[in-house]
Amino acid sequence: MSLYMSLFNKKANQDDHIDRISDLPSNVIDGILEHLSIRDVVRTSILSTNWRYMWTSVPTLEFQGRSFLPDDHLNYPSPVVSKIITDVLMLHNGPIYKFNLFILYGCGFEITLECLNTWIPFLSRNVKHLELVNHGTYLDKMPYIVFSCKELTKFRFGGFNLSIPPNFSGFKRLLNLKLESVTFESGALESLISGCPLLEKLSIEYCHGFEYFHISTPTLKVLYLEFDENIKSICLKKAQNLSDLTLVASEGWVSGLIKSLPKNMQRFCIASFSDKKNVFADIIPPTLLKSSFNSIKYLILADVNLNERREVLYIVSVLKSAPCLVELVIQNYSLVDIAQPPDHSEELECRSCCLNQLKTVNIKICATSNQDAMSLIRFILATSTSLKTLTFDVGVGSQKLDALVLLSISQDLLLMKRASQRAEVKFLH
Amino acid sequence: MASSSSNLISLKTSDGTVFKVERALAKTMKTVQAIIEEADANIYMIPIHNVFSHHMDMIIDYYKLSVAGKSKEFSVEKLDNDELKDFLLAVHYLNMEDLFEVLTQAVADRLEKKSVGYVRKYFGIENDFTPEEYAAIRKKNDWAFKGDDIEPEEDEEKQEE
Repeated sequence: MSLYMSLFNKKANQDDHIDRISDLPSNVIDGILEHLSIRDVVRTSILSTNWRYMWTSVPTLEFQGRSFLPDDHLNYPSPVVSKIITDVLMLHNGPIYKFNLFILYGCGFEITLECLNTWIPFLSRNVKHLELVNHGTYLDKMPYIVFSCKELTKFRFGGFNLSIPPNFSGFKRLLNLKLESVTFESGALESLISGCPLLEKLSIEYCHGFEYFHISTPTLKVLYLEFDENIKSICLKKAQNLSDLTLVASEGWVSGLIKSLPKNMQRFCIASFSDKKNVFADIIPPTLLKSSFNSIKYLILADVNLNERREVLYIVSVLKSAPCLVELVIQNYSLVDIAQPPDHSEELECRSCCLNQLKTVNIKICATSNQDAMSLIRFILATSTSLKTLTFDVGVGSQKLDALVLLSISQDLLLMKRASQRAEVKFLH
Repeated sequence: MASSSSNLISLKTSDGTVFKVERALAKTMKTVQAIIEEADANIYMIPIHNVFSHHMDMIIDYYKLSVAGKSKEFSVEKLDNDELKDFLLAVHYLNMEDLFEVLTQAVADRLEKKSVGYVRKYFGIENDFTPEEYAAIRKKNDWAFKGDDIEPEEDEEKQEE
């Protein structure tokens, strides 16, 4: 083998004029060009007469803000930049399977609806993966022509108002849908989702204009939903295959917001950007916990307020409803001010609970919540018969605990009764 | 119809070496899969043209790393351009999707953001444009060519011809 390789080496070094790349099959060249930026792709047109139009069959086109322009890009006003994109699309020859247009806020590239109405027709017949993220200009409508891209399997869009055209026949092949910064006209979100019968993954971030989120897509497996204060109810029981659910509250929420959950969830995460002092205890009624959490393996509770006794009790009831739990993460990166002294006079009742699958626990909070976290840790250590590692990190935030307190925490942790002999407790500060 | 030692498939490379590979690895080669499926009887040995034993060695390396979840550790840096091209062609012939992505990305990495002159030299491509054609293409797509990554000397050379 090494003799063969060295023959190759000799050949490569000696003769610079043997073209080593141009005779590759065109779909191999397309495969290579797909990994290059649009700027490098177009530049290949000047390599040789052979290469002049080789790039025009690359099936992926991506334009990010003004990044494909030269350094003096400020000399290119937006209409000129738009024309560049139009020219590329017009020269392009062959199906475009993937098209991405990202315009981030502040990048100085403004597009018009007219631009989109010019560009989308080049894509609509074949495009499978389309990303249109426009945080540059406020555009008051998503152009209806986007809805005629029938082959879409992955669609991401953001920065538009969305209304659905009356003749919308759906995205019948769509598997993955991501919406960000979208304002929905009345009924638009429901119409969109019900037009996607094969949808498996749905993500909704920073969107407005919907009050009810009732999903009945049987194929949906993963849902990421960020919601604001205006939402009145969330019903997910008809999404029978939903196994991975993330709920993020950007503001507060109404009590009892979640009306139903799917039965076989494996992964659940809940978080909150809100400054308000809502507790998670309000969001999922206890009866729902018992019927929906019995398959949960991975649980992430972010932004929990451990200072509230009610919240700690709620977390315990969640754990009691999740006998299959394998991994638990509890975190709170924001400082919690102690309005009242924490009440941990009653120990948490452990006897009725056995978390015999729980292997990994990670609790990461700011220093001031440490005492409430301790009663929770005591509960977990006493009930987890298979526990391998519990990591307790109080290093969040600038407030540091003094050495004596840290020492007493370490000692308490060591003394806590453990149901699992192998359990390792790591204390980070 | 499975052969008696149904876990291993025999593949014979162009240089005559026989490799016994796991069925799971053979499955990642769509070309081989198609041959197996079309055969009515047991196939004892599948010839793979355009694939040499040193290619198979690397393919097996990649497969082992992927199975261990370490596919990111696979590197073709030590291959020169000819070797990389041949390997890419072999993987293309075998129709192996993941490895094809890895190799096309590797070639793209060698081309990325390089000047046109560099790319020509590196791959042995000869510039056969007339100076007028050359200037016209540059002008039409100046957004792609403007910048300090085009060597000015090259342009001047062409204009003098």
